Amino acid sequence: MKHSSTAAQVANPLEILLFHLAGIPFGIVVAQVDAMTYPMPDEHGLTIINIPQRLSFPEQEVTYSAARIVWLKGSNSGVMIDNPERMITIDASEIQPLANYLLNRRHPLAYFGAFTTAEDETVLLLDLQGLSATETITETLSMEDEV
Amino acid sequence: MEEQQLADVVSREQLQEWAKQRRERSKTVAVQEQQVKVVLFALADVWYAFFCANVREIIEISKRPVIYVPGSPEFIAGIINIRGVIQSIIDPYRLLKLAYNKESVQRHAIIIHHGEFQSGIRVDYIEEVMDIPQSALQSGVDWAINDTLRELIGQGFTYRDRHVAILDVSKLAQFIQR
Repeated sequence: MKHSSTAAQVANPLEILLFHLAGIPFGIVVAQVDAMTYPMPDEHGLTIINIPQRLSFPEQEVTYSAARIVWLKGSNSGVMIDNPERMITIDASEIQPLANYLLNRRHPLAYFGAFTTAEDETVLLLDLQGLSATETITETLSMEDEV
Repeated sequence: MEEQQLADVVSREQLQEWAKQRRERSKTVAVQEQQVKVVLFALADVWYAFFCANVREIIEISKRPVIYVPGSPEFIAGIINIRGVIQSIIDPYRLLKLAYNKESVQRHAIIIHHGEFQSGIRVDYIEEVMDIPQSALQSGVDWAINDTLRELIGQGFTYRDRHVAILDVSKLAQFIQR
């Protein structure tokens, strides 16, 4: 995994981990992550958040080529991501909040906003805390069944 | 030749006076007839328009990736980066509940704004940016094919024997932000 910086000097640096899921470029703030692991079979008692299910992707099935779990700091929740590509450093001011009407209707806290990389790619920045704060019992049970 | 014949029956002074009067008349018409500028665009084979006062710019988007935002309303195609500013892009077919057909290419986006609201809306073709006389605008037109369109159409006009519905950006902004 490479690390690159979008600007030579940043006042409020944020490390971002980039990955794609169903062709959508996502970023997560590394400061929110405790650890990253391979998916393991003994995750009973822990909550694994399935992003496509949580954010209501239109696709019924999303294929993971290299699934990883990123574990949130200070919680028993993890988020399943796919094929972590690289880390970049951006300035916090580069994050543009999404208009209210763009927010996820079921989970409005799921996104910090969006930003553009040096390669001109627009990335949706997930708020892992916001994403996990809205977890539902039904979803947790169905994930445990899958594991 | 014609001028010579005319000059035979009327004096040069009279001709000059008529010409002056015609110039004055045409000036008067130009002052009285207020024009409004509109962007005329096509969705499938139907023409719509926005007032230019609500249009920030027109961009070509066929080669730019529109990033889908999961969980956003179905009429949102996604977001796009325009010179460092991330804009939402509306899919008009879903917003206006229109049927897609093979002519739906959506190569351009018109960036519209009203107050705090700003977004791009995909269109198939930009037909023209044109001035139309204020007097050609018709209010209360009933050219809508469904309730959503009926709610969003402000005024309309007829151009080249075709109806053009003007979409009211303030109503559209309210509709989207509900």
